[in-house]
Amino acid sequence: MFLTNFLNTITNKNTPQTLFLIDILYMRDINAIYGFRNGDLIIKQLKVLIKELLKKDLSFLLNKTLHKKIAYSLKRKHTDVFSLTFFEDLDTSLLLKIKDIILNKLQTFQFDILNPLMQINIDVTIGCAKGQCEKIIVYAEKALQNAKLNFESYMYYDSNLYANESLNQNLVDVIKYNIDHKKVVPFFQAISDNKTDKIYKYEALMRLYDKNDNILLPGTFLPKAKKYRLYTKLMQILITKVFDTIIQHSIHVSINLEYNDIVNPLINTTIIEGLKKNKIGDYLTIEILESEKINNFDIINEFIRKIKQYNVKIAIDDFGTGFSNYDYILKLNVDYIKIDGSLIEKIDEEIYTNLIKSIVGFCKKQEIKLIAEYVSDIKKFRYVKSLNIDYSQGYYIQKPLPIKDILERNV
Amino acid sequence: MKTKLKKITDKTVQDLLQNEIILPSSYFESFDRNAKDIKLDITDEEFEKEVSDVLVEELKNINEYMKKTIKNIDNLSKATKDAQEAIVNKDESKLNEINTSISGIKEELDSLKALVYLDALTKVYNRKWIYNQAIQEDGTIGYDGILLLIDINDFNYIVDKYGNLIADNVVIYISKFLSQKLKKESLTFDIARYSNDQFVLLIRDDNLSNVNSFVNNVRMEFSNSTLKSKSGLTFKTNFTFGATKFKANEEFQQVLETAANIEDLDNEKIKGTK
Repeated sequence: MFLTNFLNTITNKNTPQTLFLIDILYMRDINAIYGFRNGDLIIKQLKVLIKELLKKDLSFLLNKTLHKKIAYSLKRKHTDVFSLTFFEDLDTSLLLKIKDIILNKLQTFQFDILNPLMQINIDVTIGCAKGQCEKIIVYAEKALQNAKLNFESYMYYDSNLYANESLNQNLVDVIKYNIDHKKVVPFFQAISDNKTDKIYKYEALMRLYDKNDNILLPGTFLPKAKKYRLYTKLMQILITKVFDTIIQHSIHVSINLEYNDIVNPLINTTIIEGLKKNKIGDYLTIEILESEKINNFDIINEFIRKIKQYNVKIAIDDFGTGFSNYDYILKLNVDYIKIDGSLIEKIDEEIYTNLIKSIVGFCKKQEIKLIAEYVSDIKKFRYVKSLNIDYSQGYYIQKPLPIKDILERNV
Repeated sequence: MKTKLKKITDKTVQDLLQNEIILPSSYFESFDRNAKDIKLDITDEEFEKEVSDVLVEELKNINEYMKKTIKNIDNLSKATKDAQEAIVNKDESKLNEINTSISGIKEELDSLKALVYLDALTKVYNRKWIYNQAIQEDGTIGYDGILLLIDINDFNYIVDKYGNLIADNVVIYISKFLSQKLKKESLTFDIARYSNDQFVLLIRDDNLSNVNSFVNNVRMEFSNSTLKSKSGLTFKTNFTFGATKFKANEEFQQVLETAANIEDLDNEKIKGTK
């Protein structure tokens, strides 16, 4: 009787389920250090442990709380991941208790290995989700990934709150649409000369359009574009469009490149080929932004050497925070430094004033020109000028605008 | 229970705000109706106890404000008396002293005022601020601008499933996220918590399409981030919004309704694209 019930429950797609994914951390390391035979041995023991928990501790807990038997199934999903499904919509507080029981057991257990003199501990991460839909496995997987990324031992995704994810799915469509129809456009934000108060050049910033012609900002689409590997295509279109703008209107423009962009052969070639074909080097600045620590300066230096042959200028973006430092600048042949906006935002606080002063002092001696970003009001503008920074950029100077607005203003 | 009461109050106030005059009887009638909707038995003994607890708490707050105000008034009258004497005696150092004490009183009063008009949870303005400070006696806002109405999605679901503590944190997070983004965009604005899951923003700007497109971006950025509780719960939540331009002589209530209607359309659009 129980068996037929059980079969009915698990074959019925509408049965609510609660799914735990149990992942052994650093399984690869364990295999590498102790060998695959030991790895397999550990997985076997783990399976026995979970089964025991299901028969004893967990059954006891569920019986006590829900006063009935709950159907479950345990499977090995990948090499180092077990999936444990309860065919019941378990309450969130109950989830926490189940998680605690599993974690406690697995993390304290001494696992045997082939060497009888030794026992080892393992660590696991649990991702959990519940719901009726087939997507529950996706949510549990997401929870597991998120937990690992954050170095947490447990994470739970509520699939009900993800029902409205259409907004996100749309975003990927929108990015594709922008690529297919070459909708990606540069907006231009003025950089003004602090001595003459005249516009000196523009920074090109990427904008997309959604299907209702609303403008999308990088903060919105860049993470998704990178995640779905569409970023390179966006950059290629942007670079081509910026080059076209320079050819047509002879304005000075700087483009942002991350370290990854420079290493990427597609983007790298787009730039070098563009410079070869058109005489635009005099009008172009490349702003290098470190998104991760640079280990290989040779590639960067080689790129800089190549584009400098065409008279392109080099700027370091977001200086003063993150990975950018003096050592980095000394290794690269740099024309400009952009002081990070977060420092300019606090320019009126004494320690930041002093910090910026020291950057200015260094750059003057090295004959590197300085640009302040995030100059959003007159107060910051005055501070920037008083500290002898060469150029200003920010909302106080001008918002980023499409090229037609820039041209209208220049007339 | 207190949250239920708050919910009913919110609903009642919303129902009645349009009326020029609200008599205690109409308040009670509407409160009663809403209480039934929310399934609360107001004749229940338990409920009576809860209500009196809430009343006691409210009274305590009011007493606190009164005490401070009276103390300030006492200080002020003493300062005035001293000032009169000092003027008669041409005692300059005494006058200086009085000046400092009056400045102190002013600061105290300002901080009291802030307490009254700030939402205890999010530290942004509360609804009282909108009706007593932001809008004028004739119900208009007094300057041209844009009203932005924000509704947190799934708020009631989160309260029901995960409790108030987590729901409160979601509200705090969203209010901070919004304020930061608008500041970064160099927009001049005031933000107030209008009800449990609603914010009203008054923005001093006239470019509606810019604001719309900007808030749209903020929302997408927000939907890319995941909130995380200490117990290992991860969330995605988001908001719907409606924005509309208003003129200095337009009535706030009218403008708010327009924004709410636009928000409904926005909501349908999102659901429709599923």
